[in-house]
Amino acid sequence: MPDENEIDAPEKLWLDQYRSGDVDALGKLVEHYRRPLFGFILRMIENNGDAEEIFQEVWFKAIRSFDSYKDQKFLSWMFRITHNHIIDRARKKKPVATIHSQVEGEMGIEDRTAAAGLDPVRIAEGHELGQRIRAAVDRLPAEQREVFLFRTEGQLPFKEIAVVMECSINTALGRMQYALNHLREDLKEDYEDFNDRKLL
Amino acid sequence: MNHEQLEQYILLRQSGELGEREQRELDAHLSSDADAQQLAADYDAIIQAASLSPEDLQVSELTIERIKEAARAGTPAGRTRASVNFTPMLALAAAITLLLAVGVAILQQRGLPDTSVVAEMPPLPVFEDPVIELAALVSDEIDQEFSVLEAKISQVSDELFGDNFWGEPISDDLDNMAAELLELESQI
Repeated sequence: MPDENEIDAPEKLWLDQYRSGDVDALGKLVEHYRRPLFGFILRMIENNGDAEEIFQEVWFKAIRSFDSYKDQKFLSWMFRITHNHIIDRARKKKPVATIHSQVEGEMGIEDRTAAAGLDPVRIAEGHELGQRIRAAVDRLPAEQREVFLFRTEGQLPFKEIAVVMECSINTALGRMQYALNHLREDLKEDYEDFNDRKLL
Repeated sequence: MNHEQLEQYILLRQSGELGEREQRELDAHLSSDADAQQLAADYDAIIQAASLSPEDLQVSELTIERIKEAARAGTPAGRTRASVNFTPMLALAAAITLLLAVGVAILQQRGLPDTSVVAEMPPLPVFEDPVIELAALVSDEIDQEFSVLEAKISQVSDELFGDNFWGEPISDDLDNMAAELLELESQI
């Protein structure tokens, strides 16, 4: 997880520069937070083709709302906008956001990889474990999945996840526990294989 | 430490939010519980493997440029898709542009109007208060026209009727003249 100060220092500088009229500083901000934000969006929505559009819309909203941004963690603030935007979109335009009501039953590896749209070349390259885990994450209930993605893609601490989702830290932790236990059960053989490979 | 607490401590340690005292508690528990070690290892493995690889996270330059463009304007560029929204206003603007282009092309082909004609024209009056002065100018001209017309009417009426303009009807004069002529004829 990146050090908090490492993130805060440049972001404040870039924000100040942007507010002084330096648009390139905003470009640096976009690039700096591209990975956590875009990764989260990509995983939260069903249609990957909409991810860039949502990413763009989230930044548009942020640009319009910069005046209301105060002394809070910038990434958490951006995730709050993203969280609200995805919910709004899901309400207006079903089924952009994948809202699975429950974890589906046990699936074979072939089914899971097919669900994730796996590329055979990439499987051969050794990416299959991550893909299988991601396919299993896609089947998690929405709230558990969101906490899981805030943690894994967004690198947000639970304290910040609780702020973004407007819940207690214990609720955020509880959702993450449920998510991990679902995944642990669903992918028992896979992560055992992963652990074995790590030991080699 | 119960199982619930163990799970929470593992997660908080992973996110860097576990306090020093809790960290010592967790370490002590893990060192004596193989299942707890397995649980921690599984959590770490899943979290590590779940993240997308950098090549999955490419955002197009076009998207970044649109965001910067919106930042320049202070508001969103208005379009969220790669395609341009074809609105009636856009169509109107395109039509006007096309007409202007065609007009310029025709002028270039035919040449500009003869400017010497314009040069020979008397200079246009310059008004301090255009509305009032223009109204006064028009009023004077109308008055002059009226005077001319009145004079012409007066002249024509004199020629026709002399002083008898408002006198006997013309038909009576003609009757009298006819009677006089008949009388003269009878005398002849």
